[in-house]
Amino acid sequence: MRGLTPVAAITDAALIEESLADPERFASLFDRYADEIHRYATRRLGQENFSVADDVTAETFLAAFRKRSRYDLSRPDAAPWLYGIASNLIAKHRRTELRRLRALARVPSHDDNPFEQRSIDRIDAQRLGPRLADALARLSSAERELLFLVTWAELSYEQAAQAFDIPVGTVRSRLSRVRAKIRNVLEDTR
Amino acid sequence: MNEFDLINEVRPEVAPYDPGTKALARHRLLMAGRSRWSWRKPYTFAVAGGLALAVGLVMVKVPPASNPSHEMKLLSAAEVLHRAARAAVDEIEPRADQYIVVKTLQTSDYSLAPYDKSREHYYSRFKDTVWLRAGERQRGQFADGVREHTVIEPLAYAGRPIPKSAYKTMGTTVDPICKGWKNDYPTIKRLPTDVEGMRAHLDAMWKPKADKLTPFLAYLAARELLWQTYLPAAQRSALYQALSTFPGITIDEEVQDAAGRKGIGVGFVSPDGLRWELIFDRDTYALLGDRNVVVDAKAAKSPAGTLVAATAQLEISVADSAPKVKIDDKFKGGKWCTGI
Repeated sequence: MRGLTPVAAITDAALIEESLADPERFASLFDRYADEIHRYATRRLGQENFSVADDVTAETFLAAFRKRSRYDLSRPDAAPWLYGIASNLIAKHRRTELRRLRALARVPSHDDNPFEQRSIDRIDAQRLGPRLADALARLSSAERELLFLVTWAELSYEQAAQAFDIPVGTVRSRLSRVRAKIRNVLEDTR
Repeated sequence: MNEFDLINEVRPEVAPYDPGTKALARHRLLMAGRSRWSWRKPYTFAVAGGLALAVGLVMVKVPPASNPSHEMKLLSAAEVLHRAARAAVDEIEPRADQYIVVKTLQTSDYSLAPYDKSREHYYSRFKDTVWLRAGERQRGQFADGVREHTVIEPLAYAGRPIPKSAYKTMGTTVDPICKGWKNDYPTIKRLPTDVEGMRAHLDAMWKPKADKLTPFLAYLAARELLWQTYLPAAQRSALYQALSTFPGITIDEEVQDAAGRKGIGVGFVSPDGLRWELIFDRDTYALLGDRNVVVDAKAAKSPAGTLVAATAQLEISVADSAPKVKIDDKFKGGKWCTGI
């Protein structure tokens, strides 16, 4: 259960429904999810592009607010919906992310000395092995969006299906293909 | 380990959402709601109850926004700003080939407001030294300066245990920086020195993101001009006077900055129930730092009096050189540094 307050006890869907009559109720949805959406956007776009992640987060909630009347109120959890919107906005910065992934792919790995640098950014660069970064950069934009939602955002397959409005079976088959692609790149470069 | 485990293994740790930026995003969202529903009474969005929770670090109770002695405090706040404006002097006069060196201390609740017991709440602390280029950026230069960022030992929040992960980022890093909002020193030293001009500049800083310069937005913009940089006395004086012209500004008689120095707080309450205030030395009216605290438990969904974040400006000086740092492609691609 999130928090102890009356507002936390109601579902996201109920909040969204209330916001149709009382728009300022939507701010409670921001309170619930702003940190995690921001964290996700920053992970995707890189700490060095924090201002783009800031914009993506703000735009996610503004876009959600504008289209809240079309939200499927039978879905109590709005996280997949918000992640879906954020993913579409992040995809518009595909070049930023690809540039970051390709730059990381050129960084030599430091497996022998993983604690050499303590900066968040450098840990990121060291950990994201060049081969894996390369494999991620070779995926299509749609594949990458799906992959990061079920890994870094920890969405279930069902939630990911809701985020992109596709059947769960499609999620499973796409992710299976993604795994095979990554495996192939990793094996090719060994 | 399968491919997904591998990707989760490399999931980057990222810094928390900056409180000011988060507050702005929330503010924009509320404004979007109000633009079509302007008949609504402001600040009625929050219905959450407060949490009866003691907060350990800095428990300074701040009067709520609807304090009955508001009118008297309004005068006092303006007076403090006028005194600070009169007291502003040029502490340094850097040459174009030198660097301005600013040392600061920050304390920030890792998960910020609202309080959510399912999240990690502890105080992250950072000690920074910033070297800012005093001269114009030359062709081919991408950075405005260098930041030495030291993550120091975290502090507990309301007696909650500090997670082990909080200690993992302790240590020092040195990285190039670019000032956002075109706030590099050569630019800010050319800002207007009159009150109207400075108000217009604060307004311009928000274009096109905000249609109207609210007192809270003015405060956030002013904070940007003062944080980890050096605003010359003439502009600083104009800035303080400009802030004094906004309605709703109030005073806290006794507050503490991130270094524990006591001073007078002057600031505004944001729509999400947080008070944002600049802290001035009681005797010299020099800027000590700033902080934000919960004043409206319902709106902030956190106990009133909770410190969310605080800073302290410790020292300003001039140096002939700055630490050498590598400027890589990743940095050059950053939004501020490419001038987008």
